[in-house]
Amino acid sequence: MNSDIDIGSVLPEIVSETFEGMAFLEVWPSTESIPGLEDLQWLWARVGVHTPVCGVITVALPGDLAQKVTRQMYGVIEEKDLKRTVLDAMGEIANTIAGKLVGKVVPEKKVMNLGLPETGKGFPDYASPLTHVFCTDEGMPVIIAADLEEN
Amino acid sequence: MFIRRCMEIAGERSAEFVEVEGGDEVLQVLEGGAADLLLTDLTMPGLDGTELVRRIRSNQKWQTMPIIVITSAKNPAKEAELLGLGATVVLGKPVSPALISQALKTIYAGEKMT
Repeated sequence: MNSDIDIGSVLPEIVSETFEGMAFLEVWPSTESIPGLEDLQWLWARVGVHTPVCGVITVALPGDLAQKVTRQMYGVIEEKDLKRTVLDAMGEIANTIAGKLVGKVVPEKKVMNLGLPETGKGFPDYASPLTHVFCTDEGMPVIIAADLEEN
Repeated sequence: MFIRRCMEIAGERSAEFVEVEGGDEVLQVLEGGAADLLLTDLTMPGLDGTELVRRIRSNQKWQTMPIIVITSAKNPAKEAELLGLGATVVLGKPVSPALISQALKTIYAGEKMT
């Protein structure tokens, strides 16, 4: 891993590019603490990173925002397909952010290998320095946790 | 699903799509009939994209079918690996209708696409 690169410094651009590119949504680092995070109905997706570094990248969105992002990505969604499609969209976002982040912190000549996205519900334990809180232009929170270390 | 949506926005509405979960199912579909193009994610349940490309290119029947691999793990090393195995184009995520459209133009240069 290129230890000269601080994950916190590259993550905002990656997150912003990903949400704008995939869901036409502006997202930037939250400069103020957002009250009541734990009261929201959270959905999360995480992707394991296997080589050349190892770790996990997790993306968590409130359910309402996850639905909005999904509709932005896929257009009209039938109600019967909504749950599955939201989880698919969450996985795609986590996968994209993980790939971009790992691409920034490892040398270009190293082949990256990522795992399949996993998804779930609930407010994960994000009270750590690995957690980064972002905010949409409508004030909705987006949480990213990036835990990477040398193999 | 996202890739299909991009294809539709890119103007490929008249194409017939067959969507499957993983690489094993791709091989079953190919065995069952001809396909003009394969768009595949790299990371999939079961047979992954790397092994899928390897198996497709080892079969004489599928030597010329264009393969677009879409991956979040794209960097020069990964792209070289996949192209070396026989992928036609490697796209990094996030893909967009414009990116897919450009890839199709590259593959079908000189042919009408819409």
